[in-house]
Amino acid sequence: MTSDDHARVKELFIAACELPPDERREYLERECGSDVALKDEVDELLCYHDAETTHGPSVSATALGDLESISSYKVLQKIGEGGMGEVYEAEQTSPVQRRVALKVIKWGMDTKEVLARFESERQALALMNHPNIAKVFDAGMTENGRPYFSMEFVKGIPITDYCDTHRLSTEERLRIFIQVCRGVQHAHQRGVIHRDMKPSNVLVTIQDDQPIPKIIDFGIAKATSQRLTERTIFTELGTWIGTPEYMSPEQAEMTGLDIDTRTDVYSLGVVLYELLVGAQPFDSTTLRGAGFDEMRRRIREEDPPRPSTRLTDRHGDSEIAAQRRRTSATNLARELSGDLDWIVMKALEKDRTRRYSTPLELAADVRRHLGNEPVEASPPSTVYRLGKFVRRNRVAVATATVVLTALILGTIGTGVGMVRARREARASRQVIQFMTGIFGGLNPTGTYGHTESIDEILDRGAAQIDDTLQGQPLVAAYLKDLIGRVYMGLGEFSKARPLLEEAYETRLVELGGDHPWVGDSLDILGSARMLMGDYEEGLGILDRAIEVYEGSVGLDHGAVGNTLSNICHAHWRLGDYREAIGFCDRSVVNLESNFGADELPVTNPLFNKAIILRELGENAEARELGRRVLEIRENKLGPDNTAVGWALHDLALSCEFLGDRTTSRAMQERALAIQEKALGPESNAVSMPLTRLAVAKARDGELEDARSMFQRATEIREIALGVDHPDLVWILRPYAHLLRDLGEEAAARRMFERNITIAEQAYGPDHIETAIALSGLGYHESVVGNLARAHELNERSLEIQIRVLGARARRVGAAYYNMACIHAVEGNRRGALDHLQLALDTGWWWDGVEADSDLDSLRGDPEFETLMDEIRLRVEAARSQLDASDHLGIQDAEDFLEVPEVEGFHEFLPSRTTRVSS
Amino acid sequence: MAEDRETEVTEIVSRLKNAEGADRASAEDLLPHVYDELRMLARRYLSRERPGHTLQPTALVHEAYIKLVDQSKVDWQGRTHFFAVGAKVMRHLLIDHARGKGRAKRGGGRQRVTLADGMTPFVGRELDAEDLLALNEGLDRLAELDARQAKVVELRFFGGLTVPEVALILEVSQRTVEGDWAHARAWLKRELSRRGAGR
Repeated sequence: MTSDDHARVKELFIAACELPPDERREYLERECGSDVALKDEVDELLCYHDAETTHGPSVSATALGDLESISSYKVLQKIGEGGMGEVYEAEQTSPVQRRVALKVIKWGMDTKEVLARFESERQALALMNHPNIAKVFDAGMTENGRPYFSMEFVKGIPITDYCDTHRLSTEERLRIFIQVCRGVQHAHQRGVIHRDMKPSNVLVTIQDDQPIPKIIDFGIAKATSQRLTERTIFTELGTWIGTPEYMSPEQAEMTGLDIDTRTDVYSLGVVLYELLVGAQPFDSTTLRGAGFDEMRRRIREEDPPRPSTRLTDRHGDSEIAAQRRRTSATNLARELSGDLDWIVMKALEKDRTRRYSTPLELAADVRRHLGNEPVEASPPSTVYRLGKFVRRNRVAVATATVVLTALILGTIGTGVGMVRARREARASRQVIQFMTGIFGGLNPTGTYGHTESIDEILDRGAAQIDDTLQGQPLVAAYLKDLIGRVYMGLGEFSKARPLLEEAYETRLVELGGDHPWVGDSLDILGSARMLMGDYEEGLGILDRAIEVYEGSVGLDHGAVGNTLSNICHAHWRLGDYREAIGFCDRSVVNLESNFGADELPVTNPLFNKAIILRELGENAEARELGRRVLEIRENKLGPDNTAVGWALHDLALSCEFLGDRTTSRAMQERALAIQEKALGPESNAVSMPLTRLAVAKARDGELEDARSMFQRATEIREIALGVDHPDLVWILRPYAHLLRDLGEEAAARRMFERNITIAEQAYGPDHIETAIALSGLGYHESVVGNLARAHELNERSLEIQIRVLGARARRVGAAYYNMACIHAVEGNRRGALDHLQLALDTGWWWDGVEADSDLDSLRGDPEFETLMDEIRLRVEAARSQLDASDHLGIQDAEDFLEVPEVEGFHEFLPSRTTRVSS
Repeated sequence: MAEDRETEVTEIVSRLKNAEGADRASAEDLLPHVYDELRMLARRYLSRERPGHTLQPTALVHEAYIKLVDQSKVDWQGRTHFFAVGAKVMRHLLIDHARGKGRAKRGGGRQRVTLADGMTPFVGRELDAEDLLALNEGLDRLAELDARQAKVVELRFFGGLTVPEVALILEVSQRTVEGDWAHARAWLKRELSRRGAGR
């Protein structure tokens, strides 16, 4: 073929492309005449062209029609077409420039109604921020009145296609599926139901070599669903919203009124089914071919075959499905039967009360399966129970620890439990009987007639309280309060809160608003809010607790001491350091005078104070306090208590910041062992020592080990606290530094940016955490050579720190120093020297300055050397004070950015007001 | 120093389009910088050879761009010129790699590659060395028949350029690019599937 022939073929091809398929033949016959070879050539190419299903033909400007009228978007190409309309890749030009996907809804919908429904959900949609959800940005109307949605542009292919083309094994598929569940869970927590979960709405994209599923179209199904009363709209099944194969029985009901989050759980079940088996539970052809009413009936009434059964039924196809999963049909069937069958069937229950109640529970069961732990979804069997026996022992240990710590600390703290036990013998006997009743099943040496997990036992206990204790609301309230605190200890905030609130309300009704038990309830409720990351609201509730105490038992009462400590915590989190220290000191005075200086209660405010001092850069003082906390707790609780673990972790941080890495590491290792033993390897308490040990590993150059430890810590915390909890930044920041060191700059940058988002959302723009997040990214940018960006970020961070802490706080010294380095590298001698002087004025020093290549341009400069001499003096002074340390490394940029962890739960203990009736 | 290079490259990029006559830089001035940076980045990725690790050329070009250019001083047209050069270099590096140059001593396996999504004839899957070589040959054959059309494909595949961006680089209308592109995709798919059938 010559280039002339080629040009002729191309010309005809392009012209034919723009014609509707049925006019093409006529056109080509006319143009090619007797040249059959030419016509065949064009025909063949057109076939290849039309076969492109994932990505349609590019659109010429004229074909865009009314899309041209959407201002602030520049449409680039069509990327898909479905029953609802077309999807285009577009560039948004204002207010921000970004790549978006524009979904333009086909004719025939009531645009105003669509937009109104979208508007009603817009706020909830804006709150969604999750790596597995594609954001929906906006909705609007084209010139001709068609509604459109703009959303995050995802380059990816449907999850089922991805898994098949990459021949992912069952396990790999499950890991991706768990991420999908997390995304849906995130949306549910913000009140958004997807309603149209299906593989084509879950696109898999690659980030840092990892497949990341992204759920698209959140909020769109709701906006575009027609009123479901009229049959007429279902005449065209292909365009039926809510694809029938993935539609839940309650959706098939068509009443349209009673859809909740569990409809997504069902659809997730279908997606899982398809990922595992390669087929949908109900065969698509027979389902759609059966007629409308029959189809609905089948969805509502017919039980689909189990995945393993379905696989065996498919005969020839099963071998293909197995190959796509890198296994044989026999092995695949074996893999699916058992756990996975049960999990899928539980998600697909017709009665939604019998399904997993949340996507997270579904994901948790999948995770249990992957970890060879017994799953929740299971028919009873001897073998199965035996497996579960082992697991329950572990949980029993954890629970016993939590309950005992709670009781001991609570008892010693204020003596409520014991005092009241004597005084109110009748009530307390009931309490003990009750607790023995519900926890009795946990005796590791006992026999098990049932297969309950700790959650189920607690759930059952909580549900029984009202029945068992009818007519004794205050005893019931006490138990709810206690179980609520146990839930908090286990990190189950969503279960803790309703119980604590019920206890509060009962007490309010029974005792009136100025009773100290009401203060107890307010104190724990405020603490719960703070543990969930909501410090502002938590502080408000705690303030009310103080008012109640003041009006009843007086501010000198021992119960007030711990509330003051919690208030200190709230102020610290909100960035108000002076207030925080003030409340801390008041709390210490109160608790010391009520309980003694060497007793457990005082360790809570001391612990908080150590954190704040370290935050201000006063590491040595923080270490002194930390030692005292540890000593008291070890004395009173023995060496293996989880509260001792927290004390160790925090003291280790102070040591680390002072350069004593050997001691620090040994302490973190001990803390880790304590928490793993006391609370199990997946408890949130494990994640912080793990993080610091990962940092130590990274320092030793064992980067891959460090990476897997960071990953584990992140996963633990994400599951325990949620993906946007502010406490995540303490793991993600050093993790991001590590990623850069591993050469994964883009991933590191994204993680730093995620930190900024988390901090800004949790604390607002004017907070030390936000400043730290900004300087984290700033440091990163300077290392990878984006100096201008680094300059800007560090400057913003410095400004915030000065506003929050004052220009003379020692911590701000490090921020000045960062700026000095940037000025030096930029060649701005004056700027560098001035910032270095400002840093020194805060009392700051760092032994790494001597070797910092950023300052090389200044070496030998007399003014610089004078400043260096001062730094050397300070380093020497510190070195001579430091016992047993071979290297001194405080405040190297990475370390300095770390903020310590706060204790998990031991501050939140049972009611401790005493002598109420006396 | 990193920022010296950044200043220099940024300057070249902005002279690519703004100045006239002798002041106007050519893509050739940019090439050595882009080549060095991309080769360094690519080597780092390609040498890692972890299982399941795939290379995304457009991501690398983007990374090089961020490193070499002060983005506050360059507009989208400058960026596009940079990416066009990047596409050319990337194709060269990838084909070298696929042929096994510079890898023999390491004894490493072959890197899998993901081209700009949705643009390749291999929709939704990674390419191995053979795919890459076949694609390269196909592009060479296409270039003999229609050089501009092959260029369109190169810019799209290896640089991830959009239709308007390609139009800017080749100084033709978007409509022309769309036509070239649609036809080239069908043409390449046919070429590659013939190869597959003949194997």
